Amino acid sequence: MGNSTVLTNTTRSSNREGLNDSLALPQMKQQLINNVVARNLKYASFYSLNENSNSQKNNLNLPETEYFIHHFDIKFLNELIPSSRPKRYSRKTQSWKGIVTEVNEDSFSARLYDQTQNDTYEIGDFEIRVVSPEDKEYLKIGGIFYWSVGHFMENGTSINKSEIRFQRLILLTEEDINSAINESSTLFGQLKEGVIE
Amino acid sequence: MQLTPEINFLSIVVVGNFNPIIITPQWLALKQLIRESESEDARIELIHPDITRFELDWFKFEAQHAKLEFTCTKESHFVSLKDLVLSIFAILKETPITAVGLNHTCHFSLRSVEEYINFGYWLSPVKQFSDVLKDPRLIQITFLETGNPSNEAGTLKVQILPSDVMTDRKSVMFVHNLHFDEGSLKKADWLINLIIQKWDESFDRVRKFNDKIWEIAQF
Repeated sequence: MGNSTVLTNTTRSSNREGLNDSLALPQMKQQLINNVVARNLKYASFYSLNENSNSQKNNLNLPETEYFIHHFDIKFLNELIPSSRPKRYSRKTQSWKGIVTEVNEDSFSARLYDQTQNDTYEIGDFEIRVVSPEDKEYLKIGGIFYWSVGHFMENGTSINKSEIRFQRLILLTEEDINSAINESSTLFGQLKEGVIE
Repeated sequence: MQLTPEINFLSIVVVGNFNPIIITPQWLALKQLIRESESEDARIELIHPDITRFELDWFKFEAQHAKLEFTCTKESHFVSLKDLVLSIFAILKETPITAVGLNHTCHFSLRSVEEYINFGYWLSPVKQFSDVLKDPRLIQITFLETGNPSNEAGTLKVQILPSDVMTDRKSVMFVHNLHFDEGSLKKADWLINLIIQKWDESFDRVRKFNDKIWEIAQF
């Protein structure tokens, strides 16, 4: 199968007997999806049987769940994949929220707030090379980043590392900003000159 | 005895009506919510109109028509996960939402197998069935909060069961599910405000429950 995932189904609901066409198939489909999720399957392929066997099976008037099993060739591949136990996780990390206060040619300074005690801060200096090239556009005065130091488990290996990740947060979209500008323009246009007494 | 968690996981579950195919690593990178390299390195398990599932180095994502789930197994990235969810719903602001869950999983290691077994006996009087079950033991137990005066405070459900990460037969996990459901269809701004307001509180509630258990538990 390589790394690609195949999840296809071809349904022929019009051929079915003894089923509520408007409800049964989506329900069965959902059951299958639940099955994929519950088993943490990596690959699953569903495809319908050929026309002849489909017709034969239709005559059996099977209960709904059995219908799907009989009418579709369901292949669960990699069924023996280990459980969903995470392979990457952190243990005993210390994290700070940093606010950039100064940016120099090779370094930058920041106020660092301990994530567990937000009321005091320290000043830290960092080399710019520790920042991911893809985060450098966020490195400016006032920029917010998260700095974490600690033990990380990756595929059974414990690694000590320090990581800086700049905040990527959108709370107002361009549309929100344009809408606010339009609204303020409208309100401004409704203002009338007058004298406050 | 006070214990602190060895490992913490966090998941944010959003219940509503979604198109699973919208949120992909490429879309997140396009919106600058993750790094381009993270999108390229994402492990994609399924992208399908009915279900999408992929994993980055610091979070897992799964979408179905009725549920989105973001799971972070790196405590150092919990705040980044919050930022990600807030940003997604700031963009998808018309998304209909009915409920939100802030789920914290805390893994604790006890000192010995004996303590682990005795902790189960302390949580539930399974020994009283000794005459009908041979050496009965507790596998898991669930506590459900039922007395909250308002939906706004959320409802806490806590499951205690063997740790699925530290499989040393002496570790347990507490799965805290803080569920918010106002019983009607909401838009994304409800979710954004709720997560901003309840984020710290959810950590406090989890810590208080954990501290209480370890303060009174007898092994």
